[in-house]
Amino acid sequence: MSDQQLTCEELVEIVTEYLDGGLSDAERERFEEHVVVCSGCANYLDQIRMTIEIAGRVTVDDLMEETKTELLAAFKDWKRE
Amino acid sequence: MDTVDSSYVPPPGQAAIVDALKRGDEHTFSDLVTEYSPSMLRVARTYVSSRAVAEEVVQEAWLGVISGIGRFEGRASLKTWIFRIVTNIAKTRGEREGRSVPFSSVGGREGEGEAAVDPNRFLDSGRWAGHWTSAPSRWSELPEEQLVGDETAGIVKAAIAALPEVQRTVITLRDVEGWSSEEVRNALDLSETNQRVILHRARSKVRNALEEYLDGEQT
Amino acid sequence: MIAWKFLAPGAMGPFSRVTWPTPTGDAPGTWVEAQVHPCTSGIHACEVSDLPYWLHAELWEIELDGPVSRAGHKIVAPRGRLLRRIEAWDRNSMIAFCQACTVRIREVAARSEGAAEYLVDLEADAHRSAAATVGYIAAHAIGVVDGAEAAECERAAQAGFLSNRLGLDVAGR
Repeated sequence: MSDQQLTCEELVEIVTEYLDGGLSDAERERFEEHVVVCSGCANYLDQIRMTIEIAGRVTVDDLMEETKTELLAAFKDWKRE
Repeated sequence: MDTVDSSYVPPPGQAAIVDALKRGDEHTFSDLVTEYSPSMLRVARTYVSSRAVAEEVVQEAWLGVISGIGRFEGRASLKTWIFRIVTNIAKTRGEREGRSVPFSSVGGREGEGEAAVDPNRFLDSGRWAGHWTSAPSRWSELPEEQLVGDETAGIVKAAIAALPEVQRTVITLRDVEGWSSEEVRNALDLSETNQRVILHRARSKVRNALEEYLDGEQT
Repeated sequence: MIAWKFLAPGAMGPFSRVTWPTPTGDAPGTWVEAQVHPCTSGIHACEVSDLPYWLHAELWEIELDGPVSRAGHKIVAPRGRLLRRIEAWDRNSMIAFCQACTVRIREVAARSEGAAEYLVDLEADAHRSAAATVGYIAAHAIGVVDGAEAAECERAAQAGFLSNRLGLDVAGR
């Protein structure tokens, strides 16, 4: 059975594929069976999930105000045509 | 229109937005510009040489939206349609500028050969080779205020800012703005594998930065 | 079909992170439909022989509906609902499970140095009642010493232990 087991080092490289639903059913089961028995990898998976969650709260830069104003002017022009 | 499948159902509320645009409703247009422009800039930036050119691309794209909305038939989502316009304009501009390296190949190179976690964190021999030497800690046991605090979000923001451009773009679209992998692939012209490799490297690095910060504070 | 399902504390799916509706009084929990999504094949559950692979904080009896199919160490159905929690799966049972594994591995360790090393690992995890890990190490160690078939036998012994201790014999009810 050891020939089929994932190591932790391998698992951390497919975690993105796992979360995106990109693994086959068999690979997915191998991944999940590993996480059940390995607290280190269970924590790692949690950490990646939290990383995504925290990234979702980050605010991003906006378009320059003058560009926005110009665009709105262009929209008004188009409307008049 | 290349990625549209016949079973496509537009998101709720899209028809109303499209109608409003066709009528020339300024509020709707202004809201869309506010909502999508930052991502459009980011996408454009990956094809052209400077922020200034990227702004021009975004502007041109919105003009394209204005003039083309009358022909929009709702067979793809409005968002997909808008980003197709940005991508096409940005690509043309990039080619004219002589940015000859296709984005997708840059993406591939950026991800290669980097481990998600420092290889020293794993045993290199013995019966548990490949298993953790120092396992990741349980962040869920940290105080809630720390995890949701501005300082932690700041660490993530800084870590994202420090990434190579392609990685920064992909993780920002996926995780900060919540795009699906398909939307990112379409806008950036990436293969599924490339998109995933790039996102994987980006997330791994941001997690590393967070770990350094959160676990450092504990001890 | 009646089957078993391990959940994280609070009746949460350990991977889906979905909180399962729990039974109230005599009424079963409401049906949970598998999402129609190419990547989620359905509601996952265990037959007794699958249990050792998925040990988690809470064990529930689950009713599955629709065509049930086997996929590796689990069964999959389009929908399911929780019937009752198996209260006997508690900390004491986890400790007893770990002890039973330890006893079997000691026997193997007595005749194999390879297994003796694993016994040390296993005892460390048994000490913190990490039942899933202990079950895995036991099967893994036996597999290394006596081969894959012996590892399967160890998993079967673990399943038998759980079935006995927790009274999961469906035919008997």
